Amino acid sequence: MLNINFKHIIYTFFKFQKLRAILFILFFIISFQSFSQTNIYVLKAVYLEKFSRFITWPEESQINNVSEPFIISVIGRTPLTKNLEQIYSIQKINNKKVIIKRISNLYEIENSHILVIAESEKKNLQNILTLTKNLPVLTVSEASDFSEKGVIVNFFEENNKLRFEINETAVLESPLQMSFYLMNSAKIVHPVKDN
Amino acid sequence: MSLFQHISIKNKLVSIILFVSTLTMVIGFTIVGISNVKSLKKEMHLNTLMNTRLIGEYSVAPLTFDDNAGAENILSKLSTIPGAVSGALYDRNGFLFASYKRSDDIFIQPLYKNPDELTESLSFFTKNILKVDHPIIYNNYEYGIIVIQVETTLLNKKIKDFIYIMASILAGMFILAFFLANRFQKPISQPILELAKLTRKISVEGNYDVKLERSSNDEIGILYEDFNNMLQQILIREAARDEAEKKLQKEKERAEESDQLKSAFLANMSHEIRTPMNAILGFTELITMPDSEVTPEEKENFIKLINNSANNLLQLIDDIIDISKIEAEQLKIIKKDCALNSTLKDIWQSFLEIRKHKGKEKVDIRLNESALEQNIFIKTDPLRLNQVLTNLIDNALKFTEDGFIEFGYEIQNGKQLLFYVKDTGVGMDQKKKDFVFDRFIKLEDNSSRLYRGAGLGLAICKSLVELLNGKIWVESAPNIGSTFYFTLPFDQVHASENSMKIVDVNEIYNWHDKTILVAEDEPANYIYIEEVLKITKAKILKAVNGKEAVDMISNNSNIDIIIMDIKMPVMDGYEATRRIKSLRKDIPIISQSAYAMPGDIDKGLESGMNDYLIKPVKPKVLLSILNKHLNQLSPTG
Repeated sequence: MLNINFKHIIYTFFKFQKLRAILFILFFIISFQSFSQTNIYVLKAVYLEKFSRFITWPEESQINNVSEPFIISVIGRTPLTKNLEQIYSIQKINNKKVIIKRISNLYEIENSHILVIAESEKKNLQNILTLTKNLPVLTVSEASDFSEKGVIVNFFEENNKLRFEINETAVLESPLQMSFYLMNSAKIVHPVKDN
Repeated sequence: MSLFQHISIKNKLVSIILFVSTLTMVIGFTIVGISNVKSLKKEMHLNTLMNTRLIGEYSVAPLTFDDNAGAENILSKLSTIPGAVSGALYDRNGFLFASYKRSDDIFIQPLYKNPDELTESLSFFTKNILKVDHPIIYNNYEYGIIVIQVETTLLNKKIKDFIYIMASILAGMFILAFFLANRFQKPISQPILELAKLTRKISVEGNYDVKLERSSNDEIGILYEDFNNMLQQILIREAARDEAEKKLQKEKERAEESDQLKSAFLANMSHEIRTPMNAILGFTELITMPDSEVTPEEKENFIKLINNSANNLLQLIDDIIDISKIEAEQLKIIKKDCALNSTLKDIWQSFLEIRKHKGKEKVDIRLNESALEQNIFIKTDPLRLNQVLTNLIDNALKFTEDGFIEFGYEIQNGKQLLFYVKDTGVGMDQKKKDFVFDRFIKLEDNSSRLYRGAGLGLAICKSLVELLNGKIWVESAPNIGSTFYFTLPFDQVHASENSMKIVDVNEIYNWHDKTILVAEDEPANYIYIEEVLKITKAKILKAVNGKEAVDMISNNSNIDIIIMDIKMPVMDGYEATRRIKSLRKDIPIISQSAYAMPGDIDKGLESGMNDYLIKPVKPKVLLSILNKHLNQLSPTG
């Protein structure tokens, strides 16, 4: 049983107050190890679900239709794909079953709610972005300058901590609506100027 | 409350107004204050709640993405909220995630509760701190708990400020109310003060003839009107009381005077009765002394003196009876046709005689000749007129030693008769003139010579003249003389002289064929009548009481006339008369009585008596009356 929040799991399993302090310390050692070493992709995968809480898809995306699946497409090669498949085999987004699609052709992007663009697609980025620009799809990447180029959300690491940046102009141009709270937590790239 | 009783109405009113207004204000301010404090508190609570929720919501994303720095950054915004002390953000497991504190000495407590238990905001008010615990829930996801603590000192300060403002407004209002109350209490206190002032004035001066000006139509106006009415009633009652008092005073004075007069009267009477009695008893003893050496001339002189004294005594008794009749208002005026001139002439003649008896031959008594020329008949009471004139002339004679007495009358305007009696006697001064007509007043001259008389004559004259609708007065100068005037209404009639006239002629009657019955229980009186009738040669029978008289009449048909005493034993004169009249209707009965009160004569006439004589009976009068009735009985004899 894998969940993003280990603390919570431990807490629910061991409600005995006396054990709490010991478990707390034990958990920190473990979580720190997993966060800094291997589990950065787990975290990223979990973040996708969390992003979805702050984003509103238009009606055409069938976002509120529980019978239709929530589609996360991954273009390019990245370890994140494996983690996504692992986590979303159980985890639902907005009460919908999640399907992870590995795509190579750009035309397969259609009907996707989230498109994860791997760093390997650096050369093809402009084409992808041109296509997704007017689609209700949240583009997510994990490369250093992708956000500058027009990807809506881009992961980066700062002080050993996973953070993300948001291209505000891209958000505005996309048919998606993004909560202010999400942007408040992110590093803003290409902010919309008041003119 | 006792303190309240001692202060003036003005202060009472002011106190009441101040008390009421202050109480109202205090209550009002308290209500407003409490609600204000409540709303302030609520506002602060809501503000804090809102801030907590907002910050909590802002913290959703940092909590979601484990962004401690972001959360701290959001919490640090609390520094801009006044009174915020600390803020703590706990994740959904209850672990502290981020915190803010205003100063370093503030301790952030760990969350001692299961975050799942907190489903809605909870607020805790402690002494100076408002603590709000708020669960952060976004899109149905629970993210954690935010706890914010805010100082309530700001609220306390606000409340304090509010109290200060209210207190200063209250003080201002109190002062304003004091001035206004002082001004506006006047319409109420002023009339009451005025009433009090007036009441005090009345009680000090005792003057009830005052009035309050009614200026309003309220209860005080009514009070004023009632007060005025009351004063009016007091005035009326006082006037009535004064009048009654005056009347009582007068009555008292009269009673005292009357008492005094009665005493004086008794003393006077005692003297006046004793004096003639002394003469009568003394001279009779001298005459009847067996070995007296009184000459016949002296004897005659003594008898004259005795007669004179007895006459005086009789006069006194007549006067007393008259005055008592007048006082009892029982004196009857019987108006008849009266020949004025012959009345005056009779009086003149009788006084010529009286003068001799009194030894006052030096005094010339004149009747005004001009009066005699007229032959006037008037309607008046001749008996009383005679009495008045006689009294006045007698009085004049008493005080005149020489000179003259003149009397007469004149007709004034054809309406009234003015009689006068003028003398050249001692006269009197003004002071004495004022009460000469009062009862029991006797005139004494400087030589302290006492004049005879009970002091009743002039008082009787005054009363009689007034009863005859006239007036009496006197003009006098000491040692020159007095003139008494009186008036009578001139009520002229043209009638023949039919008033009782006593024949004053010494006629010798011869009644040898007549039988006279004398009913008299007193031997002395019977002897007197027998002596008087001796010269007439009439046959005289004697009855000692009424019953004997009746018996004799029934047995003896020869009796021509009866002289009947009223007061007799066995059967009195009235009863006897009635019985005799039933036996012999035509027999004349002449009563003789010492009763001189009015009503006695009427009673006698009622019982059937033909005529009456009043004791003492003078021989001439007795003979004349008997003659009258015997002639009527047998005109041929």
